[in-house]
Amino acid sequence: MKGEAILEAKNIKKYFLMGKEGIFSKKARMIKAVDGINFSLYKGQTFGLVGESGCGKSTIGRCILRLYRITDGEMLFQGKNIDIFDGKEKMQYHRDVQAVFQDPYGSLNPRMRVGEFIEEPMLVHGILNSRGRRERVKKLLEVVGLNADQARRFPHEFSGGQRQRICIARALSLNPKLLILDEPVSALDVSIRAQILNLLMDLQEEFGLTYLFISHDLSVVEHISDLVAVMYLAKIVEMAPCERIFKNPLHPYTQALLSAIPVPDPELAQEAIILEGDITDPITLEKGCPFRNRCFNASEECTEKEPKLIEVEPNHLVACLKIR
Amino acid sequence: MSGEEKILEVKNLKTYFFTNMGVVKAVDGGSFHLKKGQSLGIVGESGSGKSVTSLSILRLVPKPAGRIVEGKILYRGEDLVKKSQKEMRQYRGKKLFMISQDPMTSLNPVFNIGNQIGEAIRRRQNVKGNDLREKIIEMLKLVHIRSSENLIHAYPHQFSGGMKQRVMISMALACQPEILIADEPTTALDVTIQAQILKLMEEIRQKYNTSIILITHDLGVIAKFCEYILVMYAGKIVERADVKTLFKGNKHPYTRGLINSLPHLGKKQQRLSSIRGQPPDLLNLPAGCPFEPRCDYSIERCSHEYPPTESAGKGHLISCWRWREI
Repeated sequence: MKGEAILEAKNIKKYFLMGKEGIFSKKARMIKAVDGINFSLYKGQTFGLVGESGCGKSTIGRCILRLYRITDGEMLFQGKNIDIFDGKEKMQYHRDVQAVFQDPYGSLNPRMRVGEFIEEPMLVHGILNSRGRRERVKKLLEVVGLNADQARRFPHEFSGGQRQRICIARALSLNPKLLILDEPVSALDVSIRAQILNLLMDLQEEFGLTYLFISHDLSVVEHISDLVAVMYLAKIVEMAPCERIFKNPLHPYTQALLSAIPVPDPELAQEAIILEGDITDPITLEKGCPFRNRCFNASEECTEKEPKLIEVEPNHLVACLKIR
Repeated sequence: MSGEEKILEVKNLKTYFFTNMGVVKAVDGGSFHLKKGQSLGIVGESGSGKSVTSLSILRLVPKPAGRIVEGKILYRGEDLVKKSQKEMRQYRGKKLFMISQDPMTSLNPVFNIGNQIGEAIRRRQNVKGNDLREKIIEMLKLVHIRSSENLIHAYPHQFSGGMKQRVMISMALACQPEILIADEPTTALDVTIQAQILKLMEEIRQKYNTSIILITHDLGVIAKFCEYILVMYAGKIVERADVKTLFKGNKHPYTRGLINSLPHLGKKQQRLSSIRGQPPDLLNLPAGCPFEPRCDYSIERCSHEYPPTESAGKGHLISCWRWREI
């Protein structure tokens, strides 16, 4: 299962400052978006990160892309700390790590021809001469399933699925090793979603890419991932190989999440675990287990001790006091 | 569960948008009916006309571009298409209630929650002062909002998405409409919250025998919630069936493609089967069946003639030339 780790996250923390508690207070309020997370991305594999809105899954993606500076912890890319990268190393890192985002309408510049858009990263990094770049744009368009002669068109001439293909082509233009896919199919229609997922899986095989796949949709994550981590309020609550987490979820939150997905099969009797209440506001987070207010298994113990992510079965990590 | 009484009947509805670039046939000849206490699902991808169908029923099609050009919408025998906007106000809110996708935009940010629910209550009953206050609290309790006494003075921005959607549902309850139209009510919400809201809507349907039209693109939600389903593609209703028939005995290539393209939890496949091609351009629809360019079963006839609606069993209607072979 495991191979060579391409990226290791060690105790990553990302806090956002929210201003003072009161006018005369000296204490600043903090939002803990990511709070002490460890994981590794293995070469050629897909790491799925699931969670509900506001749990910090996109923040992790942004930390890896160096769009945010991490508050504490170490992010190692091929053994080197990405935080101290400078100059050439930094450029190389950005060549190796690329991203595809959720909204293909917002990611494309409406005034730029698609060809220019795909070419731009190569221009920035000074790769190839102009003819070489144009050739490569054509090749990339074909790789993602579009026509080479569509390079001169503008984004508005494409549908959502096609635009997402264009974004993928741009991300591939620098021959990256790692792709951060932040909800790449969430904005797409069902029939188009399958096309893009298939494309992503084909590309992974062809170019040996590593994916960090961020999504709130468990069925999509199950389809594409090798390793899955479930996040709840800035922390990973369960992490295991894909089949294991879906066959035998151990954390109460994972269980509830899995049972809450409506399965498109009317005959399947589904006993949904309905969680009470809403997600706790990350600002007012107290000590203890962050999930205890909504947990059907919570007891006195959960308000006092904070559960740690421990290995309960080989490769299966869970953060719950009830599960040893 | 559902009675035999037809409460809403839509006949050959055509809602077109007249734009500078041409005519968009958002809904093109849709016919269906809704029974008392029934839950009807409308599925389709973006641009298939499912939201315009619901807006047409409420006569809220954006003007001046959009217009109902043909068809009848019969609510208890009365044609809503012929009503003036003034007359329609007697129906909106009281008989027909709509919950939209984004609860943020459907609540007024400058009035507190109590005010807004109170307004809905006063549409039906003439209550004031303390009685009204108690009614509001009762409504909030019905949708499982805790400590509702304190929350009636809260403003929408202090509520989370799920709570705002509950407030909308509580307003619907206050009005006690006969038909509740929910346009993607859970799309903007998280899965665990979605489960709560769907459960709540089911409770209401059981308790008050409300008919519900649920519009969504999520086949999972449809399978769990609806009894009868319409599948729309490019303004046309391509298949109509009860929930079991639709998932197990569907006959239309589009319905089949849609269901097969979903990843199934617990059954990991190597590849997903997908519908090829791109969604239709509504300004340039083909003369025949709009699904023809993407269909694996298409024959010559499909490209120039739209298939008639035929019955493939009890309550199972389908528009496809080749459904018998599929």
